[in-house]
Amino acid sequence: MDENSDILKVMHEDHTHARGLVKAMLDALERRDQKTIAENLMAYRDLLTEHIRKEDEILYPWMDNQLSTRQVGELFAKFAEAEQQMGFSPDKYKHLIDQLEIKFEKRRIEDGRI
Amino acid sequence: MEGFEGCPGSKMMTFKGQKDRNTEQAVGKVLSQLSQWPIQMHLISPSAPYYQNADVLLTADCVAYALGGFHRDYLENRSIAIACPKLDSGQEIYLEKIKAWFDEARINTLTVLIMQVPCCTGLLNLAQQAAQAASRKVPIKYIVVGVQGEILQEEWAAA
Repeated sequence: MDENSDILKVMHEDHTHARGLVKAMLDALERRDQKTIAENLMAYRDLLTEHIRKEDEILYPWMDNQLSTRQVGELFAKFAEAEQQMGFSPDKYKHLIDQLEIKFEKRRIEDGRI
Repeated sequence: MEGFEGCPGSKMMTFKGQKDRNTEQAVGKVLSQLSQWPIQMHLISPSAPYYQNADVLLTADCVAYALGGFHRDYLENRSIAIACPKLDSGQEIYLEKIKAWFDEARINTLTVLIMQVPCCTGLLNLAQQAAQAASRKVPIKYIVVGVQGEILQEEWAAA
Protein backbone atom coordinates (compact mmCIF):
# COMPACT_ATOMS: atom_id res chain seq x y z
CA MET A 1 0.00 0.00 0.00
CA ASP A 2 1.39 3.41 -0.99
CA GLU A 3 1.56 5.56 2.13
CA ASN A 4 1.81 8.67 -0.06
CA SER A 5 -1.45 7.96 -1.89
CA ASP A 6 -3.92 10.85 -2.13
CA ILE A 7 -6.56 8.99 -0.09
CA LEU A 8 -4.23 8.47 2.87
CA LYS A 9 -2.90 12.04 2.64
CA VAL A 10 -6.43 13.46 2.84
CA MET A 11 -7.27 11.25 5.82
CA HIS A 12 -4.05 12.26 7.62
CA GLU A 13 -4.80 15.94 6.98
CA ASP A 14 -8.23 15.49 8.59
CA HIS A 15 -6.53 14.13 11.72
CA THR A 16 -4.13 17.08 11.84
CA HIS A 17 -7.04 19.48 11.38
CA ALA A 18 -9.04 17.71 14.13
CA ARG A 19 -6.13 17.95 16.57
CA GLY A 20 -5.91 21.68 15.80
CA LEU A 21 -9.60 22.14 16.62
CA VAL A 22 -9.22 20.23 19.90
CA LYS A 23 -6.21 22.37 20.84
CA ALA A 24 -8.18 25.54 20.04
CA MET A 25 -11.03 24.27 22.26
CA LEU A 26 -8.67 23.54 25.15
CA ASP A 27 -7.06 26.98 24.83
CA ALA A 28 -10.50 28.61 24.76
CA LEU A 29 -11.52 26.58 27.79
CA GLU A 30 -8.58 28.06 29.72
CA ARG A 31 -9.84 31.55 28.83
CA ARG A 32 -13.48 30.58 29.52
CA ASP A 33 -14.21 31.71 25.97
CA GLN A 34 -17.55 30.00 25.33
CA LYS A 35 -18.05 31.40 21.82
CA THR A 36 -14.73 29.99 20.53
CA ILE A 37 -15.39 26.65 22.22
CA ALA A 38 -18.79 26.42 20.52
CA GLU A 39 -17.39 27.41 17.10
CA ASN A 40 -14.63 24.81 17.29
CA LEU A 41 -17.00 22.14 18.58
CA MET A 42 -19.31 22.71 15.60
CA ALA A 43 -16.35 22.61 13.22
CA TYR A 44 -15.15 19.38 14.88
CA ARG A 45 -18.61 17.83 14.52
CA ASP A 46 -18.72 18.71 10.81
CA LEU A 47 -15.18 17.48 10.23
CA LEU A 48 -15.83 14.21 12.03
CA THR A 49 -19.10 13.59 10.16
CA GLU A 50 -17.39 14.14 6.82
CA HIS A 51 -14.31 12.13 7.88
CA ILE A 52 -16.42 9.11 8.83
CA ARG A 53 -18.30 9.37 5.53
CA LYS A 54 -14.95 9.36 3.69
CA GLU A 55 -13.82 6.33 5.70
CA ASP A 56 -16.99 4.37 5.00
CA GLU A 57 -17.44 5.28 1.36
CA ILE A 58 -13.88 5.68 0.09
CA LEU A 59 -11.12 4.57 2.46
CA TYR A 60 -12.43 1.20 3.64
CA PRO A 61 -13.62 -0.07 0.21
CA TRP A 62 -10.25 1.07 -1.22
CA MET A 63 -8.34 -0.74 1.55
CA ASP A 64 -10.44 -3.84 1.00
CA ASN A 65 -9.16 -3.94 -2.57
CA GLN A 66 -5.57 -3.23 -1.55
CA LEU A 67 -5.13 -5.63 1.35
CA SER A 68 -4.98 -9.41 1.27
CA THR A 69 -7.04 -11.41 3.76
CA ARG A 70 -3.78 -12.13 5.59
CA GLN A 71 -3.03 -8.40 5.90
CA VAL A 72 -6.57 -7.63 7.13
CA GLY A 73 -6.14 -10.17 9.93
CA GLU A 74 -2.73 -8.78 10.90
CA LEU A 75 -4.05 -5.22 10.91
CA PHE A 76 -7.02 -6.29 13.02
CA ALA A 77 -4.68 -7.94 15.56
CA LYS A 78 -2.49 -4.82 15.75
CA PHE A 79 -5.53 -2.62 16.39
CA ALA A 80 -6.75 -5.00 19.11
CA GLU A 81 -3.31 -4.92 20.75
CA ALA A 82 -3.11 -1.12 20.60
CA GLU A 83 -6.63 -0.74 22.01
CA GLN A 84 -5.78 -3.10 24.85
CA GLN A 85 -2.63 -1.12 25.69
CA MET A 86 -4.61 2.13 25.66
CA GLY A 87 -7.34 0.63 27.83
CA PHE A 88 -9.79 1.53 25.06
CA SER A 89 -13.35 1.08 26.22
CA PRO A 90 -16.14 1.98 23.76
CA ASP A 91 -18.73 1.41 26.49
CA LYS A 92 -17.13 4.11 28.65
CA TYR A 93 -17.48 6.70 25.85
CA LYS A 94 -20.99 5.56 24.98
CA HIS A 95 -21.96 6.02 28.63
CA LEU A 96 -20.43 9.53 28.63
CA ILE A 97 -22.39 10.51 25.49
CA ASP A 98 -25.62 9.05 26.92
CA GLN A 99 -25.14 11.07 30.11
CA LEU A 100 -24.39 14.28 28.18
CA GLU A 101 -27.45 13.80 25.98
CA ILE A 102 -29.68 13.39 29.05
CA LYS A 103 -28.11 16.44 30.68
CA PHE A 104 -28.49 18.74 27.66
CA GLU A 105 -31.95 17.47 26.76
CA LYS A 106 -33.06 18.24 30.32
CA ARG A 107 -31.55 21.71 30.11
CA ARG A 108 -33.24 22.35 26.76
CA ILE A 109 -36.61 21.41 28.24
CA GLU A 110 -36.01 23.62 31.29
CA ASP A 111 -35.06 26.52 29.01
CA GLY A 112 -38.35 26.02 27.15
CA ARG A 113 -36.55 25.52 23.86
CA ILE A 114 -38.80 22.71 22.70
CA MET B 1 -37.79 -28.84 -12.42
CA GLU B 2 -41.19 -27.33 -13.01
CA GLY B 3 -43.72 -27.48 -10.23
CA PHE B 4 -41.10 -28.46 -7.64
CA GLU B 5 -41.86 -27.26 -4.17
CA GLY B 6 -39.92 -27.77 -0.97
CA CYS B 7 -36.42 -27.09 0.26
CA PRO B 8 -34.49 -24.92 -2.25
CA GLY B 9 -31.34 -26.74 -1.19
CA SER B 10 -32.71 -29.96 -2.70
CA LYS B 11 -34.26 -28.46 -5.82
CA MET B 12 -33.22 -30.27 -9.00
CA MET B 13 -31.47 -28.17 -11.66
CA THR B 14 -29.28 -28.79 -14.68
CA PHE B 15 -26.62 -26.40 -15.98
CA LYS B 16 -25.48 -28.35 -19.02
CA GLY B 17 -24.73 -26.01 -21.92
CA GLN B 18 -25.08 -22.91 -19.77
CA LYS B 19 -21.37 -22.33 -19.12
CA ASP B 20 -19.73 -19.07 -20.11
CA ARG B 21 -17.42 -19.92 -23.01
CA ASN B 22 -15.25 -16.88 -22.27
CA THR B 23 -14.30 -18.14 -18.83
CA GLU B 24 -10.73 -19.34 -18.57
CA GLN B 25 -10.35 -23.11 -18.72
CA ALA B 26 -7.72 -24.90 -16.66
CA VAL B 27 -5.16 -26.57 -18.89
CA GLY B 28 -3.20 -29.66 -17.87
CA LYS B 29 -3.06 -31.15 -14.40
CA VAL B 30 -4.30 -28.75 -11.72
CA LEU B 31 -2.16 -28.76 -8.60
CA SER B 32 -4.01 -29.39 -5.34
CA GLN B 33 -3.57 -26.57 -2.81
CA LEU B 34 -4.68 -28.74 0.10
CA SER B 35 -1.93 -28.67 2.71
CA GLN B 36 -3.40 -30.72 5.59
CA TRP B 37 -5.46 -33.72 6.59
CA PRO B 38 -8.08 -34.31 7.97
CA ILE B 39 -10.49 -31.61 6.86
CA GLN B 40 -13.95 -32.71 8.04
CA MET B 41 -15.07 -30.66 11.03
CA HIS B 42 -15.73 -33.71 13.25
CA LEU B 43 -12.27 -35.08 12.49
CA ILE B 44 -10.09 -32.01 12.78
CA SER B 45 -8.35 -30.88 15.93
CA PRO B 46 -8.51 -27.09 16.35
CA SER B 47 -5.11 -27.22 18.04
CA ALA B 48 -3.40 -28.81 15.01
CA PRO B 49 -0.26 -26.88 14.03
CA TYR B 50 -1.66 -25.91 10.64
CA TYR B 51 -4.38 -23.84 12.34
CA GLN B 52 -1.99 -21.80 14.48
CA ASN B 53 -2.11 -18.13 13.39
CA ALA B 54 -3.60 -19.33 10.10
CA ASP B 55 -6.07 -17.87 7.66
CA VAL B 56 -8.76 -20.51 7.96
CA LEU B 57 -11.51 -21.48 5.54
CA LEU B 58 -14.70 -22.93 6.99
CA THR B 59 -16.34 -24.29 3.89
CA ALA B 60 -19.71 -25.86 3.29
CA ASP B 61 -19.26 -29.29 1.72
CA CYS B 62 -20.78 -28.34 -1.64
CA VAL B 63 -18.65 -25.23 -2.23
CA ALA B 64 -15.55 -26.94 -3.58
CA TYR B 65 -17.67 -28.71 -6.22
CA ALA B 66 -19.50 -25.58 -7.34
CA LEU B 67 -16.54 -23.20 -7.33
CA GLY B 68 -14.31 -24.03 -10.30
CA GLY B 69 -11.29 -22.10 -9.03
CA PHE B 70 -11.58 -23.16 -5.41
CA HIS B 71 -8.04 -24.47 -5.02
CA ARG B 72 -6.34 -21.61 -6.87
CA ASP B 73 -8.50 -18.72 -5.63
CA TYR B 74 -9.34 -19.73 -2.05
CA LEU B 75 -7.44 -22.74 -0.72
CA GLU B 76 -3.91 -21.61 -1.52
CA ASN B 77 -2.04 -20.63 1.69
CA ARG B 78 -5.10 -21.37 3.83
CA SER B 79 -6.04 -24.06 6.34
CA ILE B 80 -9.47 -25.57 6.00
CA ALA B 81 -12.33 -27.42 7.63
CA ILE B 82 -15.50 -28.53 5.89
CA ALA B 83 -19.01 -29.15 7.20
CA CYS B 84 -22.62 -29.35 6.14
CA PRO B 85 -24.91 -27.22 8.30
CA LYS B 86 -27.98 -29.03 6.94
CA LEU B 87 -27.01 -32.66 7.35
CA ASP B 88 -24.26 -32.89 9.96
CA SER B 89 -25.22 -33.91 13.48
CA GLY B 90 -23.49 -32.84 16.68
CA GLN B 91 -22.88 -29.27 15.55
CA GLU B 92 -22.41 -28.07 19.12
CA ILE B 93 -18.96 -29.66 18.81
CA TYR B 94 -18.32 -27.45 15.78
CA LEU B 95 -19.13 -24.42 17.89
CA GLU B 96 -16.50 -25.40 20.45
CA LYS B 97 -13.92 -26.12 17.77
CA ILE B 98 -14.43 -22.76 16.06
CA LYS B 99 -14.19 -21.04 19.43
CA ALA B 100 -10.91 -22.90 20.05
CA TRP B 101 -9.60 -21.63 16.70
CA PHE B 102 -10.19 -18.10 17.96
CA ASP B 103 -8.87 -18.45 21.50
CA GLU B 104 -6.32 -21.25 21.38
CA ALA B 105 -5.06 -21.54 17.82
CA ARG B 106 -5.18 -17.72 17.61
CA ILE B 107 -6.11 -17.83 13.94
CA ASN B 108 -5.53 -14.70 11.88
CA THR B 109 -8.81 -14.66 9.93
CA LEU B 110 -11.80 -16.92 9.32
CA THR B 111 -13.43 -17.07 5.89
CA VAL B 112 -16.78 -18.84 5.74
CA LEU B 113 -17.69 -20.12 2.29
CA ILE B 114 -21.31 -21.12 1.88
CA MET B 115 -23.72 -21.95 -0.91
CA GLN B 116 -26.61 -19.67 -1.79
CA VAL B 117 -29.22 -22.14 -0.51
CA PRO B 118 -30.92 -20.91 2.69
CA CYS B 119 -29.86 -23.79 4.95
CA CYS B 120 -26.21 -22.96 4.31
CA THR B 121 -26.42 -19.71 6.29
CA GLY B 122 -26.43 -21.99 9.35
CA LEU B 123 -22.66 -22.35 8.95
CA LEU B 124 -22.14 -18.59 9.04
CA ASN B 125 -24.45 -18.34 12.07
CA LEU B 126 -22.40 -21.02 13.80
CA ALA B 127 -19.16 -19.11 13.14
CA GLN B 128 -20.70 -15.89 14.46
CA GLN B 129 -22.01 -17.63 17.58
CA ALA B 130 -18.52 -18.98 18.24
CA ALA B 131 -17.07 -15.51 17.67
CA GLN B 132 -19.48 -14.08 20.26
CA ALA B 133 -18.48 -16.75 22.76
CA ALA B 134 -14.74 -16.38 22.16
CA SER B 135 -12.67 -13.99 24.21
CA ARG B 136 -10.43 -13.07 21.30
CA LYS B 137 -11.84 -11.28 18.25
CA VAL B 138 -10.91 -12.27 14.72
CA PRO B 139 -12.16 -10.80 11.42
CA ILE B 140 -14.70 -13.04 9.68
CA LYS B 141 -15.33 -12.85 5.97
CA TYR B 142 -18.24 -14.64 4.33
CA ILE B 143 -18.57 -15.58 0.71
CA VAL B 144 -21.82 -16.81 -0.81
CA VAL B 145 -21.41 -19.06 -3.85
CA GLY B 146 -24.11 -19.65 -6.44
CA VAL B 147 -24.95 -23.17 -7.57
CA GLN B 148 -23.20 -22.47 -10.88
CA GLY B 149 -20.02 -21.31 -9.16
CA GLU B 150 -20.60 -17.57 -9.29
CA ILE B 151 -19.67 -15.36 -6.30
CA LEU B 152 -22.93 -13.76 -5.17
CA GLN B 153 -21.67 -11.95 -2.09
CA GLU B 154 -18.33 -11.34 -0.42
CA GLU B 155 -18.33 -9.28 2.78
CA TRP B 156 -16.54 -8.88 6.10
CA ALA B 157 -19.03 -9.74 8.83
CA ALA B 158 -19.75 -7.12 11.46
CA ALA B 159 -17.51 -7.62 14.49
